[in-house]
Amino acid sequence: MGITMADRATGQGGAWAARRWELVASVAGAVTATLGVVVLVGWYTHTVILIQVLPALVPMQYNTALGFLLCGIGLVALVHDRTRLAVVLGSVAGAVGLLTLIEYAFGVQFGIDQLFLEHYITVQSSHPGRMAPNTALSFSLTAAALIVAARSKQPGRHFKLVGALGVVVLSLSSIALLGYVTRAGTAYGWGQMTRMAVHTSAGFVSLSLGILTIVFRESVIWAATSSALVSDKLVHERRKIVAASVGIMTLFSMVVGWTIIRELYSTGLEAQRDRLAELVRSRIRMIDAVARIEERTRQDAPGGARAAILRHILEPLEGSPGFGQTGEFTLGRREGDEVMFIVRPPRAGPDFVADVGLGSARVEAMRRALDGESGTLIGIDYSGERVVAAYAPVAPLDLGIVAKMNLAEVRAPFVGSAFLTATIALVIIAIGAGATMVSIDPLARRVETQAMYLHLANAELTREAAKREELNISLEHRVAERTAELEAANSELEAFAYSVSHDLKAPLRAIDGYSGKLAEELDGRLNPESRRLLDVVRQRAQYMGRLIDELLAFSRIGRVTLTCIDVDMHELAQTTFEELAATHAGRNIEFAVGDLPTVCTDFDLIRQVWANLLDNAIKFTGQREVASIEVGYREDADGHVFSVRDNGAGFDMEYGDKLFGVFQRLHYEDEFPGTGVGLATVRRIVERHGGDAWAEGEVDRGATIFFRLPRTEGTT
Amino acid sequence: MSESSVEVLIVEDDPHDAELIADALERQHLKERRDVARDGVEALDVLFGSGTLVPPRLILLDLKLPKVDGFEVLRRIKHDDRTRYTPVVVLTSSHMDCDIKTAYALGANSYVVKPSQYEVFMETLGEVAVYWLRVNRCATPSDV
Repeated sequence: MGITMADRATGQGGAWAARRWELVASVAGAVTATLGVVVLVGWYTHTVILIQVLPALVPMQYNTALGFLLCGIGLVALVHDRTRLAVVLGSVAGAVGLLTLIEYAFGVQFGIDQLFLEHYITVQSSHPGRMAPNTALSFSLTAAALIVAARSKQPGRHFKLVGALGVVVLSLSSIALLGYVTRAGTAYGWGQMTRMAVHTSAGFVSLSLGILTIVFRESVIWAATSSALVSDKLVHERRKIVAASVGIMTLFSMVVGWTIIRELYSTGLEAQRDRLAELVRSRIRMIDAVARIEERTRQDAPGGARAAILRHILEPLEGSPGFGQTGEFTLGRREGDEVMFIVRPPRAGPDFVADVGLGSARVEAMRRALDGESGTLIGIDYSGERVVAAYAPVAPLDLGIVAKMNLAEVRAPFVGSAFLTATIALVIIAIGAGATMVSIDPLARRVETQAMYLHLANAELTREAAKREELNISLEHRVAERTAELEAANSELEAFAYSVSHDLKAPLRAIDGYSGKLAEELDGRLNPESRRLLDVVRQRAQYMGRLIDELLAFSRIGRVTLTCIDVDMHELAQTTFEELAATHAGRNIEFAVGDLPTVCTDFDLIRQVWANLLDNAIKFTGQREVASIEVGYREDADGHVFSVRDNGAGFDMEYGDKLFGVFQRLHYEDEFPGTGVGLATVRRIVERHGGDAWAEGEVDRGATIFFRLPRTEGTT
Repeated sequence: MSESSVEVLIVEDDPHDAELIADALERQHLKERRDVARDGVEALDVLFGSGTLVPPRLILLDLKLPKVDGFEVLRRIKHDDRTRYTPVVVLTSSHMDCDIKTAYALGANSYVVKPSQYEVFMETLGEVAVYWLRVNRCATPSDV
């Protein structure tokens, strides 16, 4: 079963349509298993009523009860998608059934009949403890159905086979059950072999109905998961299943019905023969009595006695209307090679001929009687009618007497009841089939199929959602964990940065401070070289202090939260340049700002970008008589591109990328002082905004630094 | 005002910084009686100890201190009626925003980042001290 029951059980809404079959199948399985358990308990506790139901009936054999337990659980397991369990249980029950069949077929003994228990009830059992052949067959078929259904990986595959197996088991068992109802032993007993017990047949009816229920459910799943035109296909398939079921059931009913009627008829016929023979015998006894009386009274004239006897016999016969509807006596005597009917039979037609040749089949009974035999036969009478007849010789008169009745009369009640039974059975089957057909009305089926499909999809979605939820929770958990870790790392970094700024700078301050103090105290007493040495000490200490400050500032960029506001870039570039230029009085700088837009960005950080870029431009144009700095702008697909172009020292493009590394410098510090953090800071800030920065330049031909801010608001 | 009481309290764990601060005050010819507390506990003892009758007129307070840190010292100063009106100049190496905000939130009168360069250090410290001692004296309870 490709799609699990459990899934569907979790869904809501149209679940009823999906689950009712599962429910029916489960109940059928549970009932069957319970039946098995009850009978097993009966065997162990010697509770006869549980084993036999009625004392005259065949017991349910131990193996049969065990088989019901296995198959019942197997069916429930199948419904709940424990396919492996279903296969194992089915296989065991099927093996027992098959071995029993082989035992019957080949007259062998595998020792399985009384494997678990010495059977102390052997009513109607050909072999003690051996289940009936029809029971064994039913188990084999049931097991096959369970295994095929369980092994079928895709929904709906092989369900026709499973359905056929189920129908056969249902037929076998329902016929046996009917046999008990109608007291027709042939229906539940095959030949002289062990009979199927009444509750065994009931158990198989339950089991096979459960299997057919699964087939119906499977056909829905198959239809629901196969294609768009499923519902029509489903209806079609189901109709075929129903038609096949009806066909098989009808065939079985006919065969069994025929067998039953035949048996009843032959019994009835025997009874009629006995009755006719008895009639003949009583008539002869009467003739004997008449003859004895007449002989005693007319001892003088034997011939006269004979005539009187004949008259005594004939008188009542001639006036007799016969018996039953077609029953009558005939009397005849041999005249040469002909049989002569001496009384016109009361039922004789107008074309009655009194003398018939001895060889004719029409006088077979009479001929035998005249030959001195008595008995019964089925043949034809003087008019060619098929009859059952009893015959006997009437010795004193050299006559033969035949009592006969039409076979049609004997048959009539059986034909009538057979006709009635068949009609009723067919009507019932037709009603059942019709009801099933109606119940698979296309629209209703379509709705049901859709409900089923939605139900399945819903279950799938629910499961998926649960999985997602689980994933999300674990993801959230991990994110939270990572965030906590990052926050911890960050605060550790803050603490570290704080320590660096405080503790690394304190000694530098002392070096510079004490050197400065020394220089003041020795003022005038220092020779130029000593003065230079002291200055170097101070310069390097101050430089290191700046390095530390800028490094701290750089590291802080990554941690601050961006607060974006609308910034007029034109104004910001302009004012930043003016502030910087104020510290470079005496420089001749041509400064031009193009048309710059207002963008949404972090004001403090973007001001630092402008400051660093313009400061660099001023610094690297230091050796130009007229420095030229241009701030430009263009828009491209990715956002706003700002540029700062100068006519300064420029750089070799080969090392262009090094410009943006921390402490990466392309010039000597004594040439252009700086710490090498400026451009790294610029790149870091624009990257925080989701943009990027790059440079173009040529040695001694100036440099252009570009930075791009995305058109949307900067990311944090 | 007692002759023996401290007028400028320097709370500084680094003796070299303390010496440079003292130099800066000397250079401005500030003759007020100074005392140096090497950690927060010492500072609190000087301020609130049994021998103290009058609070100092200016407190120069480092933030990163052994035992009790500068913020806690600042909080106690500004929560005590005796010292509430004493100007406190936070003098520290940290220029972190959170420190600056916290210091002012606790009632600091000035926040000065220690300059790395000797000359700037001397000048800045001297001017801040002059400002608070001479130009912008806080009102003290005794003035009222």
